[in-house]
Amino acid sequence: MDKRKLLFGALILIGLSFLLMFPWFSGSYYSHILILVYLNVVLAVGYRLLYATGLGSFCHATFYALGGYASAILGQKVGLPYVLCFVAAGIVPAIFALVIGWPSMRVKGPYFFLTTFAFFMVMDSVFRHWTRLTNGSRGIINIPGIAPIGTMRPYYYLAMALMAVTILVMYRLDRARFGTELLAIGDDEELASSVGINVTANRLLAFSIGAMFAGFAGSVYASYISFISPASFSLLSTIFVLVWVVIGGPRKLWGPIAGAVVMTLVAELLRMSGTLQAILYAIVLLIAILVIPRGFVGLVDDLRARFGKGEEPTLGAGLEADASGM
Amino acid sequence: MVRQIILNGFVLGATISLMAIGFTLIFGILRVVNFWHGEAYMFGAVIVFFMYQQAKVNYVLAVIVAVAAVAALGLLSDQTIMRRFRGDLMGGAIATIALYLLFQNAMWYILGGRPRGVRKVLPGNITLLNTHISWERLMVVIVSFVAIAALGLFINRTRVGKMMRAVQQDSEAAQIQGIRANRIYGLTFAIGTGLAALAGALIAPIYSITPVMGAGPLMLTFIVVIVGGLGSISGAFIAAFIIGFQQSFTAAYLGPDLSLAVSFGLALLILLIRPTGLRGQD
Repeated sequence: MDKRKLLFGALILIGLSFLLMFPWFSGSYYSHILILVYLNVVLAVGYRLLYATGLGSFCHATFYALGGYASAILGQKVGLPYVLCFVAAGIVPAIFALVIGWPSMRVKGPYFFLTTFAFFMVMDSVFRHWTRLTNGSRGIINIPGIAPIGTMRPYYYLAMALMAVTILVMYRLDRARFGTELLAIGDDEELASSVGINVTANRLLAFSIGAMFAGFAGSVYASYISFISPASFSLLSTIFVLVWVVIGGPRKLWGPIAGAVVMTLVAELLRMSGTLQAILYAIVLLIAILVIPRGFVGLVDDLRARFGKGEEPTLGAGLEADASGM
Repeated sequence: MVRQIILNGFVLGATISLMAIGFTLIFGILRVVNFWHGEAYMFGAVIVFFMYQQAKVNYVLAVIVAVAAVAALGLLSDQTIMRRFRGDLMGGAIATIALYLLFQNAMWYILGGRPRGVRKVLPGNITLLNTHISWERLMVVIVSFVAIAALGLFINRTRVGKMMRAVQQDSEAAQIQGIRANRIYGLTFAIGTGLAALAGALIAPIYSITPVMGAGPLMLTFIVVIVGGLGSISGAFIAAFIIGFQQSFTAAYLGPDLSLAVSFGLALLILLIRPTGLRGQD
């Protein structure tokens, strides 16, 4: 067992140092792709928090956009230092998440889907039409950041650091009572609430934390590309995040990470037009929910069970057993 | 001015009421949030474009074919894909959003993004309440009302309609009574998407036709069913006209940019003070 842990740690270390050195020996195109992968991983693990409770939102890209716009407007029009822009980029979407999440989560049923979808459309319209603040569909250019516009390496490390911190935070949350409660809600909402778990409060918190990290990612994206417009954050972006989490599987942290990495690289390797890429994503999503509804994570669990590798029971399953024994 | 605004709101309300009733019917009976409802609307308009504009088929025939084709697509999607997600709200939503993505982009691939239009069906205007309204807009209202009345009669007066109501109330009890719920589900999906296609086919001569034309009506549909109460047909009908007038008035007095935001605020307010909507059940 110790040997395996050692091997695992060594592999992570090697991978990490490879990624750290990456921008020094590879072309800027590949570094660019990796920056996108890092930001997509942040989006995916943030989205997973709420999705693990069996509820998905349809406005994750809007939080990404809100972070980007908050950061861009404060940095470029107000002239705040980047650190403050970054912090604001997390706070603004989190507040929006609370405001739209609270009324729509209290009500049972699909009102949350409808509200988050409508929120996406409304904010898209706001970004397009509130021209004094957002420059409308022309977008905001020359967004300042941590380094001069057009530089790559500082943003590469910023995005990588954001991803590392996000994964660490999510890992801690998973090990905390909060993460266990989220998975328990995902297993059986009514059972969870019958053992005293506050379903709505947990989901609302998960939704806001996910929104906050999406906002951070949006801030890094906006300052790296130094340009944002409403077209950067379409409904498609939200569905992409959903696809990563669905094909990866929400039960374990590595699921959405794998989903985001695989799908981003595949889409980039195939270099398809936007339309064909969307069709590919649609078909992948359909096949995933029909064939592997629990994603890669479920697939691996099934394979392990079949080949007799003793798998420790997942956290939520343990809680469910406890609860039914009560 | 005010009369013109009221008439505009009326036409918009009629279009959305067809969309929203189809949507709320599907949700009420199948418990499925149909995200490709806007695409059903778009398909309705596109089929009319291909048949009436390109192939020079009679308009009425084109509308009938459009509704039938989209209803068949709804039935097919229900029996092949949606039946795997009975009772699974999140899974069903993901399946319909995947279809939304597929249908919209497939149509974009075929049609491209250029807005299309069809030639006039009924030229000329009529003067109503001292205001001019084109015959085509008036036809949208009349046909919508006829379709909704027919649907009401079908659900309340026929044997199949009774089965639909039984499945809505308690699908297991209905199945014990010998009702084949699966067939009712398929039929409901067909009717619901067919109504959306009818709305699209009716507005084809009025608005421009693009692969993304369903987004706006879908958004309004969501707001209408929140305001009206999900699953309630009469609620959707009333709310569609409330939102239609609201859109029309906000667009006229506050500018069209704000009308969506105001509708959304209204929906959030309804969720806060009366979560089940005007006529919601639970």
